[in-house]
Amino acid sequence: MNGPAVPQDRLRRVVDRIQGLPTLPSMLSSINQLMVNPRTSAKEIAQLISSDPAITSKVLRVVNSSFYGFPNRISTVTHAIVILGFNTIRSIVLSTSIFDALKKGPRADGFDRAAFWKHSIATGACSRVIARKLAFTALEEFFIAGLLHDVGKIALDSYLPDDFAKVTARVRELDCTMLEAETAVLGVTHADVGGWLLERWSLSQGLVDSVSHHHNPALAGANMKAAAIVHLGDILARALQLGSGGDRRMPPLSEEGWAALGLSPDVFPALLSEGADESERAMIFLEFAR
Amino acid sequence: MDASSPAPQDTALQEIEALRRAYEVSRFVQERSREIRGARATSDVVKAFAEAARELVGSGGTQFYLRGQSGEGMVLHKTTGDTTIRRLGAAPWRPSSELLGWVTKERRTTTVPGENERDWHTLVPLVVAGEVSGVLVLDVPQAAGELAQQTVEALSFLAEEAAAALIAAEERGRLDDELGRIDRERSFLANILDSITNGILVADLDGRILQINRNAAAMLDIQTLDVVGQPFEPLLTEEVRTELRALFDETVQVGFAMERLVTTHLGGTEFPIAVGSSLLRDDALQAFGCILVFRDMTASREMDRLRKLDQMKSDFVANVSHELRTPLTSIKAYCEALAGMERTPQELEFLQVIEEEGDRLIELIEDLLNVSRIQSGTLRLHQELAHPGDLVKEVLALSKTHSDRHTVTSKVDADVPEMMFDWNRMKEILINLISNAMKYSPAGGEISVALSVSEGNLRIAVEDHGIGISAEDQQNLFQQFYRVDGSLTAQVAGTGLGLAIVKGIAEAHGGAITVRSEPGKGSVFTVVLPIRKEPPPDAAPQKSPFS
Repeated sequence: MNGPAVPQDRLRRVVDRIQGLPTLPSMLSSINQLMVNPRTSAKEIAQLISSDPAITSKVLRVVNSSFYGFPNRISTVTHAIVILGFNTIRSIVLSTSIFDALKKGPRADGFDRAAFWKHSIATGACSRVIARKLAFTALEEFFIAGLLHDVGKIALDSYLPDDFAKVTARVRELDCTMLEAETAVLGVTHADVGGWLLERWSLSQGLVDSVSHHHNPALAGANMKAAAIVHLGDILARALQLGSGGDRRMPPLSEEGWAALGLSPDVFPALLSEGADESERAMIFLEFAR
Repeated sequence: MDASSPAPQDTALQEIEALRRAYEVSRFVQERSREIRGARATSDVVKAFAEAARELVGSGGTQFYLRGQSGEGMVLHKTTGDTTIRRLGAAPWRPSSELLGWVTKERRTTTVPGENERDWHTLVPLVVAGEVSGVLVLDVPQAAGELAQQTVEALSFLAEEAAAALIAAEERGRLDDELGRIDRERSFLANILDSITNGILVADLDGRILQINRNAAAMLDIQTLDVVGQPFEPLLTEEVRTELRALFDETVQVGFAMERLVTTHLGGTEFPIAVGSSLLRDDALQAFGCILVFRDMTASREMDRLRKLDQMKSDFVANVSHELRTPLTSIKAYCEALAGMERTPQELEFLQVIEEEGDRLIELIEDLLNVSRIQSGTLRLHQELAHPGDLVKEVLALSKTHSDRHTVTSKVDADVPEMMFDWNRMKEILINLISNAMKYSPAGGEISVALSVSEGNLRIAVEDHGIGISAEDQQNLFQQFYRVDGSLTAQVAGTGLGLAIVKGIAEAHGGAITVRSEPGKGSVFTVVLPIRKEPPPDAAPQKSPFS
């Protein structure tokens, strides 16, 4: 396990002030429990999901969207699980739940949530494209990691609105990056807060590390590649000018992260065009943010 | 303790049971995956996979799609086993091209419903070198939603293993085909090399043998063909080594060399061998070796010897004939001188016999001379404008063409014109044909000589009603020294040169002779000559087709 980039006590001082943190639906932990048992069938998990009509309809919307592009209509959750796999459905449930969880709470005026989610979804889609190019199989994990890479900003916006307003004001004033403004105002960054939140939600270490270190993948240790993918996904999404992370400055590309991926610069145009297509298809998730 | 919730021991037991099952499945998967990977042929891979799948989900059928050559998407390559449970008469389930395209694009293993809730199909992309080159389809005759997560995962894992093994097997198959083709090509070339009657030895520029065929080994007295890679020089016998080395060096240095003749001794027999050479070049025309070709000259040397013998014989005949004629002329002259003196009738009779036999010898010698002239192409014609009818009159006035038992008639058509021919040679033809007709019609009878014109040619037909000639003998009739076999013919005198001379003279005139005959009924010999009014443009002697 790798520690965050800032001293633990400074992070604690910030997050201790966060009250009434959103929780993920209990269904997610039930799904996790069921999936631990190898004898669980798709039907059993489908029964669990179907107990929540809202989630069921969201899952069916996503699996039938162009994001998955399955040629035939998928009419039941059971079919969705068998066709797309257990892990994919769990990821879909997770991502739709996250939108729900983060919709609530107060927010600062200076932060455009719609642009934020658009950027997050695009980062998820681009991370998925990069992971596919690198022949990873659990692509949904990368989508979620990209989707959540800036989740710390939402947490700060919702639960420390005054501090976060100072951050956004500083960004506007100095035309600096969010990261620089956060460090100056809070002493911690959205990446630190996001990692902490994901840990609280009991998400996998891979997710936690890739969110915590998406600005500096070299610190992600064993999960350096995953963090580097999200790092590059973030840059691709900004290059595609899809949404906004709250600032106008493109974060610099981490050389170590780039080297860890072992990609040739020649693939960049292909990644951009595939990232654009994938992002467009992934915008189905945007409706869950409203 | 609350009765409705399970006791902690029960939960623990359940977990242990789950772990045990998980372990069993993973062992099963491990074993089967080893089997699948170990299979070498495509069919064995499919069989091993289908068997494992049957144990897992009761499946039997597989379909194996490969990417089409011309980019038309996935094409069904082979199928095995029964395809799921289906209604009687229903066609087997096949994935749509959209579905195959999706699996290819997403590189995702998926399980999709078939025609009904109990027919499912697992599709696995076959990824080779980063590209999806095929799709393996497994029929799952079960509602996939009811399958345990682990079973689905085990199935997918095994299918992926099978996919990898299938691609490897296909690749291997292609390689084997290619190797087989190369092998066939090589043995084809080797067969050609060994079937050539010439010996062939190929060496690199350092003189190391690259290739040698059986005949080369035999001619050079090399005991085994297993000499590739060895320098050729030490393998040679002393009698050819120097010559071949020189030929090789010259070829390599100059680029070509004249054919050389060497002689080897194999089992005590002498073999003359002609050795040719050429440079061996690669695709870039860079020389990298030398080819030596060995030709056994025994046969052509024998031909040479026979030709020389034949020439000697011809020369001999010509010389001897001349030498014989000179003393005969003297004998005849002295006979005549003796006859002019006072003689008893018996003495005169003896002198006449001597003279007649002398004439016969002269004729014989004349025949031999003619044959040798015809053979050597030195038969000269003295063609003059004359009427063939006059020639017939002159010949029939000769005593040679008269006999007590035969009547010789002649018929000359009115349209027979004057023409160019050698009077004396044509006279010989007529005398020959008429006397032959007499000889071979011992019972006597009519002999007719008919001259006619047909299609611009003069036809001279001499017909008898004698013993005739068999079809077989007709074929050889015009050869020198050929005589028809038989008790009767044995009594007939002759050298067997007559008809050969007739044929030679006719051909020298640009004509031909044919025979039509039936045993017991007689023969017709027909000489056909072209009618010419002018002397032939080429005054040179006509080359006889005999030579």
